[in-house]
Order: sequence, then C-alpha cells, then structure tokens
Amino acid sequence: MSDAVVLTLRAPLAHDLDAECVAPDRFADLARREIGELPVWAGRTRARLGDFFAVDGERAARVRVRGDVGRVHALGRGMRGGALDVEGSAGDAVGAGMQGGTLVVHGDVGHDAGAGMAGGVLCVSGRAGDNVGGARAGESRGMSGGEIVVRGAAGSDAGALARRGLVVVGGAAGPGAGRAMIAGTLIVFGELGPGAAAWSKRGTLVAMCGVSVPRTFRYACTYRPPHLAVTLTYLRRHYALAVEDDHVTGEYRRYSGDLAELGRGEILEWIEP
Amino acid sequence: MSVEIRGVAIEDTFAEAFNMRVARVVITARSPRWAREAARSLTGFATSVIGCKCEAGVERELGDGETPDGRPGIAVLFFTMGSDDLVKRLVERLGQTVLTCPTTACFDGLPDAAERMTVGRALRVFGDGFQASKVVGGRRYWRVPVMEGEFLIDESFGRLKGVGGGNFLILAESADAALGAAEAAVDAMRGLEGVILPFPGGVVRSGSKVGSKRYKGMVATTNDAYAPTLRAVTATALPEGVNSVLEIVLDGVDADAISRAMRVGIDAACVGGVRAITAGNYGGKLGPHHFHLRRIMGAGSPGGAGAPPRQQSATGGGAPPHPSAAGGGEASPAAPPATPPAGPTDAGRAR
Repeated sequence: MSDAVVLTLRAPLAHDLDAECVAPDRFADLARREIGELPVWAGRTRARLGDFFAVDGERAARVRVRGDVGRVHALGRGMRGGALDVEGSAGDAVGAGMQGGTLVVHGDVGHDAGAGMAGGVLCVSGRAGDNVGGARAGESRGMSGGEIVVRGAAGSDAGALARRGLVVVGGAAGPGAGRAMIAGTLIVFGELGPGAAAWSKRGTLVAMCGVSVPRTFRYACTYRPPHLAVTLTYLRRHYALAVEDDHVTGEYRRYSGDLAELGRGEILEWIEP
Repeated sequence: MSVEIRGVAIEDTFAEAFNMRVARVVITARSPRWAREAARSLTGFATSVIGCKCEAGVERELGDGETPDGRPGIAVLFFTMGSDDLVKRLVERLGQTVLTCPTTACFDGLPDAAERMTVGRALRVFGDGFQASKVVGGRRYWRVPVMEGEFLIDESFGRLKGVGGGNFLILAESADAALGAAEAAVDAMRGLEGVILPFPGGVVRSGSKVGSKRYKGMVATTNDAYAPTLRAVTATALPEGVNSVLEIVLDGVDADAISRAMRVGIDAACVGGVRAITAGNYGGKLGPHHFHLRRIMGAGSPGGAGAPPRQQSATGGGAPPHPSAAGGGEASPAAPPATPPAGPTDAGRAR
C-alpha cells in the first residue's frame, strides 16, 4: 500500500484518450499491475492504462496524474471518493457524474466538467469549457449535488439544468449560464453572457459583474441575502477564494423568475457600493 | 484539616449535578447590538427547568471569524432534561425571539453532534410555502421570507448530553460582601467556553430544598438551612458570622467544562467578607456528577488528584491559586454516599 498512486504520461499523446478508469476509489484496492491493466480507449481502440502511463504506487485512494493530459478525457468520471490531483490541464468530462471525493485540476478543463455530478468537490484552477456542472448528453438534469469551483472563466451553459449543488465561476461565463436551472446555486464573479438564468425554475444565479436580466424575470427588492453571506464566507474560508468584503456584506437586486416557468428562481445582482 | 483560599474556608463537600440535553445556538446579526437583543430574548425566563422548562444562557460573544456568515454573533447554550423537550423549547423560543429579531440569522453550534434535531425544518413553515433551502458545505439552511428580508436558519441542530446543576454557595458576613464576591465570580466565569450561568446575572439568592415541610405539592421551597433569618428556628447549616448566602449555578456541555468554571469562579469569590464556600447536593443519591470543591481547587479531598493541596491557616494568607494548578477529573461518578446526609445540611438543589 502506498500513500498515493502516481500516473506519469509516458509520451505526448497524438490522439484523444478516454481514461474513465482513473478514479481514486477504484485504485484503492488494486495492485500496481492491476492498475496498469485497466482499460482505456484511444479513439475506437481499446488499450491499457499502462500503455500510456507509468504507474507508481498501489492500493491508495490518492491519485496524482502528471504530464500534459489535455487530451485525456473522463478523468475521475463517476468517482465516489478519494482524492485525484491532475498536475496540469485535463480534457473533457473531468469528474462527470462524480459522487464523492475531491478532484483538483491545476490547469484548464474541457467541456462537460462535473456534468451530472452528484457529490464531491471539483476544483479547477484555470478555465472550464462548456456545460460545466450541466447535464450529460441525453439527460434532462444537470448536477444534483456537490461543489464545483472554477477559478477562471467558463464556457457556455455553466450550471445549466442543475438540480442541486453549487457552481462558482471566478471569471466570466459564456451564454446560457444557469439556463433552465431546476435548483442549486451558480455564482459568477465575472461578466455573464446572454440568456443567463433563462427558463430557471428554482435556481439561484448570483451575478457580481452585472447581468442582462431576461424579460421573464421581475424585480423584487434590494437587500442583503443572508444565505449568500454564508455561501461567500464558506468559499472564502474553504477554498481560499478572494471574495471581497463588499460582496459578503453588500446589497443585491433580487429578480424573481423565470415567470414563464415555475417562477421560484432568482437572479441576485450585486450592487457596487 | 481546614482548607482555605485567602482566608476563605473551602468546605469538604461537593456539588451534585445531573445529566441534561444541550444545544448550542449561534445567533448572528448585522451588529453586536442585535445579536445581543436576540440572545437576551431567547434566554429570558430560562433559569430553571422546574419553572421555565429549560435553562439557557449566553456562552460567549463570537467574532466575525467564528460565525458561518462572517458577522458578529453570540453563542447560547440551551438545556433541558429530555431530548424531546429540547426540540420543543427550541422551536418555541427561536420562533418567537430570533426569527422576530431584525437582521438575525440562526446557526447550529454543534455541527458535529451525531444526534440531530430538525428545528429549522419545523420553523421553515412560517414561510407559508415561500420558503426555500440552500445547501452550503453539506449543511442545509432554510430561507424564510419575512417583512425585513429573509431569516436564515440551519435545518438541523446538534444535541449532546450535557451536565446541569453545577454550583457553589458563597457564605458571607454581609449581603454586600456576598454580592461583591458573587459578582467577582460571575465576572471571572463569563465567557468561559462550554458553560452558562442561567440565573439573573449568574447569581441565585433563593436556593431551595426539594419539596416542602408544610405545603404538599410544592416541588421546591426555601432552603431554610441556609436562610440567615431562620438560623434560630431551624436546623441551620450556617457557620457563625454568616449573614448572607448567594449561589452560583452552572450548566455545561460536559463535566470538565463545569469543573474548570467552578475553579475559576470559586477562586474569584474568595475575597474579604466571605467566610466559606460550600456546595449543594442531595447526599450523592440523585445526580451522577459530583464536583468535590477541594478536589476542584486542587486541595486534595479524599481520593483527590492533582496539585498539592493549598492548606492554609485559619487566618488566611498565601498565594492565590493558579487556575491550572488543579488536577483533572474533578467530577467523580456517582457512588453511594459513605455517610447518608443528616438532615438538610447541604444546600438543596431544586430551584
């Protein structure tokens, strides 16, 4: 048994690799050889994890991935526990459907990061592609639990169709952020693209840099949302996010909507003092 | 063998305390003023379970960095005898005193406790269907819309087994001396983590005995053995020269918290004009927690451990005890009393 299993990319990849098998809870009971034998897909070709990665360590629920794995997809998909550290950028579907544990990517991630996630924590120090925390292809609901923190910008449809959970985007978010949220919370510190929160049922979209409020939302009041103070204080303490005091203590314009839907969602727009 | 602290006799007796159920409620507000207002209302009329159904008090004020929302706050400890009682009292009181108070939010101060009470879940219905919940860091909060804006409360609150009824009595030469000593004790004990002093200003003047000599149905009546005006007509327990007695009562999250606070409080109460410190018990037959005064003060009563005893002459003197000098394990588990109590010699514990 080792402290951690370290996967080191043997050589730069010339093609995409689907490595869904890389999940710390699965590695916890596997010997080094067994880890190397796990299946991966290089395009339509089935291969072994050991063909592409040198495996160091065994039987550990802490996994580190080293090398440029920007073309490696589905890292930590469906993981249920443990810790997965990716020391660089990762491909698509990182942490998609994850149910527990902590996944940290020290770089950018592709599309569908944390899509369909049900629990655990996904931290991205760089940017995220489209549909972070959204629904997986063919599904009607996005993430249903857990927390996603993207320190950089995010592509389109961040938090779209989310059922529960928290998505934080430190930079700007593309079109359709919080689109059709069923519930949950999306906080965007940067600018928001068009169509934010449209078709939302119960979700909360927090806009720190202004928002184009859909016509189907209605202004309610200007106030200090107490739950937001809790959330922002938590983000500051737990993730060391540089949340300004004015965000925590400041006032927000509340818009209720989407009135074309259930109408129990909200947009909270921070008012710069 | 006499044991004294600065000329004040520490009697060889113990405080007898009981298991209770405890919750810690953290109230935050826009300013300390409103956190205090809510805490004051919440803990009002909560001195004794006998008449108030619960005992509650402010544990300490909390800084911005100690509360979930980064605002100033106050920690309140809440005690009842039974688990179900605790839920009922919290729902009643939080609903009437914290929900109603401007700018407040209400949080669970025992998030790691395994036993949970869905207090916020019960209070959420004040929102009449407009309430909503948010999960942050694994904790569910309820947002209840109110005229001012929104009231936020944790869905569930933790519950622990606590200890109620820690106490000591200050036997003084005059009412002024007793009050001064009691105030000094309370000032020293205020803000200690894990304990509250549920009575007005932390002090009780009407210690009681169980039942009545004359009136059936009375749960508790005056502790005549310690009432100076009855010295000549009852089996008094008052030493000569004592003309006034005040009691400090403590509830705590555990026995260690009570021991620590009693040590601090007794030490502070040993001032001029005080003849002796004693404690109330039932002879050891009712409560499972026994806080031996001399052991708590590090003065080594039977079986006591810790620092060497501070045995002093009757004329007093000597260095004040250091709070950390006393050994641990001051509260001993219940055991049959070696000698059954002879009459009302110890202060009654019913209040």
